[in-house]
Formats: sequence, C-alpha cells, structure tokens
Amino acid sequence: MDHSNEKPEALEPPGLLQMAGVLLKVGATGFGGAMPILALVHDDYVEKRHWVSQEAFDEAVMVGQIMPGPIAVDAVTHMGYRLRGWPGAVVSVIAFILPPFLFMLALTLVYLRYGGVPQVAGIFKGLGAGVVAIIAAAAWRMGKPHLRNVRTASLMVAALLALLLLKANVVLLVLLAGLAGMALFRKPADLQQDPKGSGPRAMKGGAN
Amino acid sequence: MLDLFLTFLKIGAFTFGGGMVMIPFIEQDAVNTFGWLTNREFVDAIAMGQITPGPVIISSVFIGYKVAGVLGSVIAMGAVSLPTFFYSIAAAHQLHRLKGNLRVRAFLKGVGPAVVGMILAAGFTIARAALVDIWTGILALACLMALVRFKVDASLVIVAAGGIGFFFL
Repeated sequence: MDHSNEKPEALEPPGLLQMAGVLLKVGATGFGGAMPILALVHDDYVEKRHWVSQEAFDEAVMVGQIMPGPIAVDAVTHMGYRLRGWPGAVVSVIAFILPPFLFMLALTLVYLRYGGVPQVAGIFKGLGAGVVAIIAAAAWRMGKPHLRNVRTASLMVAALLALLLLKANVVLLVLLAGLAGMALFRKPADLQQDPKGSGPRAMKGGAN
Repeated sequence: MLDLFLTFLKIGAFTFGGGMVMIPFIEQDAVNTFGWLTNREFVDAIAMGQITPGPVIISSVFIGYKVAGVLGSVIAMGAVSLPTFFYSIAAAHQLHRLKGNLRVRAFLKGVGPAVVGMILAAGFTIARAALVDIWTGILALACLMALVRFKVDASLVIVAAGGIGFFFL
C-alpha cells in the first residue's frame, strides 16, 4: 500500500492520540541527530500514513533550520500545529521529548551514583573521546560549505577567536554575526541556495 | 532555580542551527558562569545525550537534575523547549514571508559560519577535558576517521567508543 506518488487529496489528518503514538515511538528510537530522526518522522508522516504532503514536510524541515532550537523538535511541533492547531503542537512536543527525557533522567541517576566506579569511569573516558570526534565531525560537516567563500570563512574564524580568546558572550556573538550577514550579503546573488540540500536524506549520519 | 529557567530559556531562544550549537552556550553559562557542573561532567552529559535517542539538547536534563533534582530537570527541559515551541508555531503563520525573505536569509548566512566557529571553540575546551592521555587522543582520532572518512553512524561510533573505554581505558 505504499505509493509514494499518492495524490495530495489522499492526505488524512491524524487524531491526537495517533500522532502522540508515532512521536513516542520516534522519540524512543531516533538516534544520531536531527536528520536521521526526521527521516523516521518522514517515513510515518509522509510515506506510511499520508498525514502531510512532501512539500509541507520540506517546509517544516526548513522551519526547523531557520528557527532556533533543535531542528527536529521545531519541525515536529510545526507540523503538529498545522495538523491539529495548538493541541497538536502541545501533544507533539511532549510526546517527542518524553522518551528521551526519561532515558536521560535514568542515565543521570546511574551516572551520579556509579560514575566513580573504575569500569564506569572507563566507559566515560571512551565516550568523551567519541564526543570530541562527533563535535569535530559536526563542525567539519557544517563548516565545509562556508570555507568556499572568503566572507563566511572570515566570520567563522572571527567567532572562533572571539569565543576562545576573548570569551565573548555567545548571544551577542550570534546577533553580531547575523547583523554582519545582513551587511555583507545584500545582493540576491550572495544568497544563492546553499548547495548542502535540506532533505532528511541529504545529511544522514550527522549528529545534531 | 530561576537562574536555571532563564539560562535554558536563553539557550532555547538563541541556538540557531540545531542542537550542536547549544554546546558553546551551555559551556559559557552552566560551566563557567554558574559552575553547575565541572568540565568533566559537561563532557559526560553530552556523551549521555549522544547515547540516548532524541535531540542532543536532552543533555539539559542532566544539568537540571544536578541543580535541583527531578524538578530541575523538568524545568531545564521545559525552558529550553519553550522558545522552540512558540517559534515553530509563529513560523506557521509567517511561512510565505520567511521563505523568500532576503534579510532573514542574509542574517542566517552570517550566523551559520559563526556558530561553526563557536562549536569549534567549545570543542577545544571539551577536548582538553576529555582527552586526558595519549589513548583517549588516539581513540578520538579513530572515531573522527570513522565519522568523516567512512561515514559511520554517530550513534554507532559513540557506543563503540564507550565499549573500548570499558575494556581498555
């Protein structure tokens, strides 16, 4: 029953409980950052259940990328609101966050209690090394497109030095960088669509 | 507790570009300004955020718990999600304007590279706390190779790193 060329009329808006069920499942099984998680949401929302069209899904991903906050949470809340209004948004964000919240709370308790045990400390030494690699890889993946342009590359280096050497305030840095962007990129030609692509498939394997 | 709420509200409101961006924010406030957790705990909190499903921002739960128990973790997670929640709903009403708006795109085009610089800066501090000897350094390099060169899934890499740590470190 899985036709990806389904006509838009075939869209069926879900009930709140159905939506909560899908998001609880995605929340509990979605690993590896925003894009792999959104790929799971896409499977259910667009392909299996036809709740939203591909276009609306792409718009939600775009909202997630533009708006502050975790991309997947943004996108899921946005779709919840468009499907079922305020209750849809509330149910979406809670159902999506709840499973990882509980996992994390359980881990926190274990960590605070047994973190000093040598074997556990060993695990965290290993995990720490993995985290450094994941952050470096994310910076590489996110930064590569900006290296091709002198202006964006300079902004990147400026922010790095401002934070590392001057301990500049992070909020101020973000706002300044945005203003710099508005001053530097005035011509529409400066704002050609980024080549990175924005579908959940395009960025698999990243950690956000 | 109010500090906790306001800090995470701020983090939720300004982390343009996804979950990784919150790392420099959390470091500045929770580690440096308020001293809620040590550098080591910060690294471990992010590590736990990576081995649990869901967004990395879930690391907030750990920090909230350290400050004020279960209630603290609810406050931290709620505060960090609140701005996101309203932004996404507001976006539903302004979608057509957002889509083509050149000023918004220019703003974000400036923010994009800057947050990468900020993530790198936080990465340095984290590396100093996490890479305590030659072996953790080698392991980090191996993980980086796996991620970038061989495109191994991040969740697999982190589990493997933990396993290696359990047996050898």
